[in-house]
Amino acid sequence: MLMNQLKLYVVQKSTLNFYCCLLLAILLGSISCYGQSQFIAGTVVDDNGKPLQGVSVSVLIADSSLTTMQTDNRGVFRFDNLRTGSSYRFKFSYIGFEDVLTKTFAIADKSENLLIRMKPSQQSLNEVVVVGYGRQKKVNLTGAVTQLSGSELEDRPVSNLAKTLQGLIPNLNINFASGIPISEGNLNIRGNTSINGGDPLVIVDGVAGDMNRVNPRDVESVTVLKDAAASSIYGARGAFGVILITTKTGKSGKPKIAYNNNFGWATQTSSTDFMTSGYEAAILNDTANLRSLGISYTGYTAADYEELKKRINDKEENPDRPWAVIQNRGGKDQYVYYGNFDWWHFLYNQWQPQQDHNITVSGGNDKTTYYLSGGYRTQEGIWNIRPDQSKRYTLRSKISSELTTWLKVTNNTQFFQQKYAFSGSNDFSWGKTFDEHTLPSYLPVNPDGSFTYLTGLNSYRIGNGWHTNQLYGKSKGERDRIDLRNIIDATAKISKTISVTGNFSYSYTSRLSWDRAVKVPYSLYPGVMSIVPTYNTDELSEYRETIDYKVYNLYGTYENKFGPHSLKFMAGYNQEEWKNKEQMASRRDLLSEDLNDLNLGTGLMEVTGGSNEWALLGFYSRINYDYKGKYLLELNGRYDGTSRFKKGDRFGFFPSVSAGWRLSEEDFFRPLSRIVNNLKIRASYGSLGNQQVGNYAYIPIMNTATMNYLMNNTLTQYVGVPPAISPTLTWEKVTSTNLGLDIDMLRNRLSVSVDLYERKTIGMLTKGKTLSAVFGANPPQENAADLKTKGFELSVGWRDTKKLLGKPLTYSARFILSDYTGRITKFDNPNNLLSDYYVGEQLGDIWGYTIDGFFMTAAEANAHSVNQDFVNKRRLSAPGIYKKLQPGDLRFVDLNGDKIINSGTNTLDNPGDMKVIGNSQPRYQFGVNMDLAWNGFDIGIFLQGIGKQDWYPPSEVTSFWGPLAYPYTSFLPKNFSAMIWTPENPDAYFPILRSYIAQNAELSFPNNRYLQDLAYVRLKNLSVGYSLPQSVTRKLKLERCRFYLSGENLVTLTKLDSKYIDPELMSTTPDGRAYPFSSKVFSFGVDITF
Amino acid sequence: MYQYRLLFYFIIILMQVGCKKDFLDKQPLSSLAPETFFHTESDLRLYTNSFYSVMPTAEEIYYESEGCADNTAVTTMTVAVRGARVVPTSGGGWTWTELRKINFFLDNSFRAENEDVRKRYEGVARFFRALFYAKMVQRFGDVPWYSHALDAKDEEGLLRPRDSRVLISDSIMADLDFAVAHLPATKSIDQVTKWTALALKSRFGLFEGTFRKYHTEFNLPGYEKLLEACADASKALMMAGVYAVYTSTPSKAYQELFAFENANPTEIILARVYDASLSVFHDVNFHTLSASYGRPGMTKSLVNSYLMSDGTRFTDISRYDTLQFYEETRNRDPRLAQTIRTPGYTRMGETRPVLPQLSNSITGYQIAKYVTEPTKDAANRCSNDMPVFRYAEVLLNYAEAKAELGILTQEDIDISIKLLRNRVGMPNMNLASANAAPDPYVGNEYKNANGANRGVILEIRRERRIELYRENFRFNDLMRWKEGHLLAAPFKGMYFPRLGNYDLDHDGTIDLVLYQGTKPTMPNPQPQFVMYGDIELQNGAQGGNIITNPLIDKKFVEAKDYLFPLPTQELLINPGLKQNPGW
Repeated sequence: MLMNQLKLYVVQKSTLNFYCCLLLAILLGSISCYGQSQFIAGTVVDDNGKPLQGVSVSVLIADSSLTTMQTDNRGVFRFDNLRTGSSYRFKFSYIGFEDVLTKTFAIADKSENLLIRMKPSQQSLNEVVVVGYGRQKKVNLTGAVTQLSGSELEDRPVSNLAKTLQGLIPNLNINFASGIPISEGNLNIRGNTSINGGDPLVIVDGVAGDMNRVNPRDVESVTVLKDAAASSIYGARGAFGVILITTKTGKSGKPKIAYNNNFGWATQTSSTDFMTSGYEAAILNDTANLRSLGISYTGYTAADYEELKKRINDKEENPDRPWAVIQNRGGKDQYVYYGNFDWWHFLYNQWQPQQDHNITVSGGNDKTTYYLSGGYRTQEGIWNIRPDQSKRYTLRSKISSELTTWLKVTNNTQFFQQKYAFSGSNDFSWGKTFDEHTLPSYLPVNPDGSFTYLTGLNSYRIGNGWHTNQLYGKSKGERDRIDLRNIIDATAKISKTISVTGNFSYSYTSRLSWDRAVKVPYSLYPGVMSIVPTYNTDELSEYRETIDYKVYNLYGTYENKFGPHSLKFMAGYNQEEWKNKEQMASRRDLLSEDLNDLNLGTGLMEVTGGSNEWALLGFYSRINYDYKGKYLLELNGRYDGTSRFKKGDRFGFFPSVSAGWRLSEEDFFRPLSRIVNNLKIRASYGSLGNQQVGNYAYIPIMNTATMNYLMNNTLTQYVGVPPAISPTLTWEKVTSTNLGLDIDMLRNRLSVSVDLYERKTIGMLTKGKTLSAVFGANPPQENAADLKTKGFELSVGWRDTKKLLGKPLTYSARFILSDYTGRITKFDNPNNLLSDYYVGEQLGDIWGYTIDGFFMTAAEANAHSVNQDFVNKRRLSAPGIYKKLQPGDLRFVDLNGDKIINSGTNTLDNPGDMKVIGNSQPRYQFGVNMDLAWNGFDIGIFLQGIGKQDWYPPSEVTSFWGPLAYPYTSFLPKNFSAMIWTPENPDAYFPILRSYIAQNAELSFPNNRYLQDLAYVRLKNLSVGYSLPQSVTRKLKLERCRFYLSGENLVTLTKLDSKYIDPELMSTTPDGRAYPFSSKVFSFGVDITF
Repeated sequence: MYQYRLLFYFIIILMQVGCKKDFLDKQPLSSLAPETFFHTESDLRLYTNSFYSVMPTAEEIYYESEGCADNTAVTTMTVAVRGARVVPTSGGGWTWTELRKINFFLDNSFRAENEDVRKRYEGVARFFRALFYAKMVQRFGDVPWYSHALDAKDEEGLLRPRDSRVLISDSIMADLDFAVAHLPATKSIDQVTKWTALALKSRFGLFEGTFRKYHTEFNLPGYEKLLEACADASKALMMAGVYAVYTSTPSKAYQELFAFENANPTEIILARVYDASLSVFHDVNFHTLSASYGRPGMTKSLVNSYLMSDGTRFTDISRYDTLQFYEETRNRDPRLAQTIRTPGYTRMGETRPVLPQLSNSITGYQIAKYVTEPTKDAANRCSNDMPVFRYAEVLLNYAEAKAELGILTQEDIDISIKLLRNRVGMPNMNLASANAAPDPYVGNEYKNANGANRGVILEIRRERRIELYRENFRFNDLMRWKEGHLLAAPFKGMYFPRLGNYDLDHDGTIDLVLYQGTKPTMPNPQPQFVMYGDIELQNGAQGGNIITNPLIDKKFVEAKDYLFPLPTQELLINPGLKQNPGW
């Protein structure tokens, strides 16, 4: 038997440019040959010499996989029948270990035996995380930091980066107040910040920026700095966390062109199957109003109701029974409407198309790299008659060059343009306008083609004329925005240990919006056209804002090792200036209804302006020290000044300290190291400032304005009284304490990270205590209140590879969970008024009454000895018998036994019959991410939700309350009649029908019976992809080609008592008065790399 | 080393760019601060302009809110008229922002360079402070007096108890005296002048004087002094000869006065100005002529109050209460036909007579005052100016103050009420005969009027109610006269002896069909159809006067309803404040 020694090298894995290259040549054991049998076999062991079972071994010819098998329980593999003379390579991969790729060698006329030694993967240990003004190895982190790579954000048919990040990072809470195509996410890190609000700071490529301006496809990584230790380097703006977004950079190599697209259709997540029976809706609204005000809402007579009844089953208009008839009313011929019209689907688009195209070109040589990308996205909105549409263009050019051996210069240009064009008026508050007065019995268009507006039977306006304006189509507007940003960055390597980075960034933003209103005609009397009174002005107004923003940064880093001691020192200076300028101009009575330019105006003109600026500067420093990689210490500090406070209060010093201990590196831990690969505990404490106050909060500003009082035949110009200002206004201070634990186990397949934190916001700017009204102004803002937020984050991840039908199956799953609660610890409210914050208040607490059911009989209602007048205000002014409590009215529980239901003195000590019935803050926010890839197929599943959130529906949520709130609710749930109490339906959900009682009476007082739990779990995303095998792509001269299908928000499970309401929307916009969410999106796309 | 030198230069350059002196000093770029303001006349004018925001809008004038009291019935009565007021938690009129605005000015006006200019604009400020406090006294009675803008730390000021309305009234009068002394005597339709200050003094003097006189339960001293102040201020205005009663054709003058596009400067002392070219509109036509805003209609009790055109009383006619629309509107004080639609009424700019529409007027007496041409009937298209202070009120105040003081003479009537009667061609009021035979009908309404002048006081109140209809006086008048019970009485409308067909203007065609059950068919032109049930009659389907809001119980509690309640939150914050009696 001949023994041949073969040297095999582990091939260095191509890694990110910042990876330290680990060049460890592994000398492998002997390889034996067994005469003529021509097989290759071998054993795979770990670095301790123990055999590894289940290692995936592939035979490669010219880098393409021929066959794959797995090692047995002794770590042995064997390939037979390999052709003599061919050149093979072998690839060994095993989760938790670094891949091993052998050198190519020809099979001689003999068999061989290999011994492969695999080294535990350093990947998770070597992972580098972006931190403030630098990068750090993940294992050395001592603060609470989570990083996500850009690849986790792909395939999502959503409009912006914030949407893709929602639910992916524990306690990075993102929500959207509106479904408008240009809506931008509200960001929050770790819950309650300050009662004045407080957003996290977003840094894009090292400079404060806006997440919404970044094309998600350009993102290399997103890092969230959560605690004071991680974010205090950003001082006055890092108080509520920092989000660092790093964009992609070109890699040296031949030019790589990638193109991807996505075509999607969006629709509503909540039901839109509303009542379309004209008769039923009118009778509900009228009955409700008769009992409250004694008058009919619609004004339909008994004869009209007969007509409606005749048509009750006409889904389509029957020519024998037209939906609009001409009748003489009050001496005049007019249209009378008897429809069963589906207004929702007339006004709103059921399927809203969107598409997305991105192309990137990247590459370079060893000195210079480039990354160029362009994106285009278009999305239609929900309007049906004349769809609104947004268009977004993004461009990025990043060129980096090593000018000398020690100097590297990068230029990074970002261009963003967004246009949103809409028809109709500019009321984006999506007010009551949209869901009132569009009863199914009314029609949008008269038989002669003119548009409707008044019914003539009551004084209300059909749909408030929104559809009239839309149908006429001449009123329109646009919201445009351009952002241009350039960052020049130079890094000088002064010596082996010292480097200095300086960068300058200039951003220019231009916002232009215009609105054109024209006079809108309608008809009630056949042949007579009138102008809609609310749309009776012909006006063009233009608004323009430009923003200049300059940022200078200069910082140096010193890094060295002294035996077991590693030291890193960084210090820098930052300075920023921001200034805006606004102009608004308007002109009335234009010469054309179709052209929109101020030059065409002939009537009244108006011009206003405005300008603001702020500046800040700061000195910052960080020291990192570790001993043998076991004991980690980090100190941060920043001395910050802002223009927003007056001299003397302007500067603040914000320090933090954090420490970590990697137990897994200790000798005593060795017995466990087979199971636990990495174990670290961390702790941090730090103090930060919050400068998120007005630009001139300390100056009593007197503004000029005009009012409608006419003096000398012009609008009166005046200078207003300044607000009351406290002389001692200064920074809100935020201290934060964090305890964390990171574990990687079972060959790094399982990773767990837990953080507990407490954040104290001290000296919150608030109006101080409620002052007597005789003060005559809003009480001045003072640093008078404290808040404490406690919470936790948990992240558990698992990834592994298995074999399925002879092919490797890689899968991963990650579960995240976070929670927080906030409590007021100081507030000047000596009487503990519930109308204000009080000490000990848990933020979000809902005070309300208790209801124990309906009165079932008149006798029971009459005999009721508790006075409910306080909560039954509406009843007191009701007509006739409805002035009295009726069967079907709600019975309130007299908690304090004083025989009267009221709020006492509305104080903590005397809340009357109220108690805390729930809490409106979201609890237990979670996300589950699962990925699976096999034989070219990949599946991604993403679930997201919240565990508990109480919500008391405000009166504006008409799809919940129907005519119980307003007697002119348009979009009634289909089953609404069945939900109302009647003697025949004594177990109904809602009480006896009375209008306005959810607006200003019993149902408008929060109570346990109608309190909703918004808890939901939502299949946020499901995507299925297939990548063409290399054998095919090679023929097509492609590097990669993948097709995918993706669905957003496909399934929602919720505890909410209404299918017409989206729990996620209500959690953000409790009154639902927002542009509806169309977040269910079906899409497909392709990803091609040349 | 080369690199170090380069780095050094780089840092130097950066420091040059960055560390500007006062880099962090950013003053407002588009607004002002008090230290640099209040120096010039234009500064003072611009600031005091902000006070005008309290001037009533057209809606506050014609819509009146609770001011319509028992003059105008509407579908939705305010809580104060219904007697359904509740103690609010906050707000409820206890709002002091306007006072802060004014006092802030008075605290800073010392910066003005020119003494005369300063006094003039202080006069403006003190006029508005008097106006502010007059409203507070009318609403709440006693209120705390503040002559400076409060500091947030001024515990004593913030927690002050209420000052007596006697003290407040004196302060109001002092402010007004200052305003009269320093405001310009040049007439201005839209800015306050000496004459506006006198008119306010007349108005408040009468309010407070009569309030103290009739509300004996409050034991308020010195009503005479206030009535004298009213009479004196009124007299000063009358003697100055700068204003006069507007006259033209007696059958039109009164109506014209309220329909003028630009307020008539002869009679109107201060107006709220509207202008179509500036798109500053109000809504009086749409409000009055559509079913949208409460279907306002004059009440029957007011219609009854109008005298016959010969000066005799309508209510002296036997069976006056069963006269139908046509008969009851004939030969009346011409102001009736200029205030509501009566047979023969035509819209401005039109010749075709139009009749009242029951669908737009809850009582059937559809209002014509303020209503202009049909081209302005759409919502918010009216631009006729609205009276805020009018000479006629001063004349009425004068006569009433004198009468209440017991010193009214026929000469006083001749220089005041006679002018108003002359405008519409009505005979003069006669002091002696009024006192000799007080009107039992009006006397039954004003139960508290008494004394030797009772007869003429009733007549002056009649005159005031008619002349100042829909100008937001009635509620306060009832309060000061202590006649709140009139709010609790049912509001009635037109009389219909039965259901059936009516020829309202006696022109031979049916104008109105009151029916029950199935709607009858009628030949063209189609009349108004009103289904019984949409309106209610006093004796049901058997006929009678229209009863408005039949299902709503009204009440007026004498012991508490003359004042408004203070919000509970304020009582809690300031234990020194006490709630008004009965609340």
